[in-house]
Amino acid sequence: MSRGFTLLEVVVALVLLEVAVLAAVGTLAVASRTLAEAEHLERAVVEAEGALDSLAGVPGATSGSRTFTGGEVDWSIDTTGTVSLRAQSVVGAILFELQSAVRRP
Amino acid sequence: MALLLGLFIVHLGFTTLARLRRAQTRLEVRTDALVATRITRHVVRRELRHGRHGDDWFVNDDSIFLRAFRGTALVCPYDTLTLELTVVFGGDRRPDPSKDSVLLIGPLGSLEARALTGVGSSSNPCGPTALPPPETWRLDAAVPPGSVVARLYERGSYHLSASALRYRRGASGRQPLTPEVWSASSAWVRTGRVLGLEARYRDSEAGAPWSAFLAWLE
Repeated sequence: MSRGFTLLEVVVALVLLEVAVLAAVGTLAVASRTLAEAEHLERAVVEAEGALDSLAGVPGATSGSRTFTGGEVDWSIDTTGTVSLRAQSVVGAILFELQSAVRRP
Repeated sequence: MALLLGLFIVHLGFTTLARLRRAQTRLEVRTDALVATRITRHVVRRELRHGRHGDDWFVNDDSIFLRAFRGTALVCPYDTLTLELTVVFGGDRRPDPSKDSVLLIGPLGSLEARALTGVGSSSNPCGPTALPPPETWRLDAAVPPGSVVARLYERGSYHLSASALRYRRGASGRQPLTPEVWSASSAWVRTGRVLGLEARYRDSEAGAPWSAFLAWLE
């Protein structure tokens, strides 16, 4: 006949279950944070490409900036047509920086 | 007391699992939205960049109709008095006579369009061996003398419909290219000289609406 579980066995089982659940929660939290960063980066790329396309299509375009959900893109253009562009998050972290030559109309 | 404690632990377990499931579902929604965002913007921008508004593509309601560029062929210097052309081709996919057309470019920039009626291999050598093997293209009309380049196009249309970006090749059905995340208010938007995309997600948890530049309307 079975004698049942001791208190120690139940406690060990609960601890193991808690570890597993916490690991799952941790994984989801990391995935969520990574996804949020990817979303910010995607929005920054959308704004950066839009800005570069504008510079290529609008005569006399100069420095400027655009905000998006999660950050800001700002750029400047020199007399040779070289654009320096920087995207940063709302907390000031640099998402990316680039320099590109733009063919003006 | 032990029973109450057990019930509490079971309740806590189920609550945690339910929250984990909700979080996982939300994560899936956001991931689908991000995938759809990237594909929609990248694919349409890339397609429109290869053509000129009015000549190669135009917008009508939820649709962008276009001659989609699929590759370039160098015309090999063989007799071109017949309906056949020997070429070395590089592109996104193999030429398909059932839906492709060819734009032949002359040495001075002249343009002539032809329908592609057949594709076969060629035993004629053409250029360095590092190039892809030459092939024979059969056209619906005589090849203009002196053609140097042939550009391959496919007739198709992109649609923002039924919650997804869809592509319709030739006369076939609209095939989804993205997960079904877009709301019915998502649309191509013409503002002055610019064609843009105003995108909203069907599920508000997927993220904030966004807008993007796609192409110049000239």
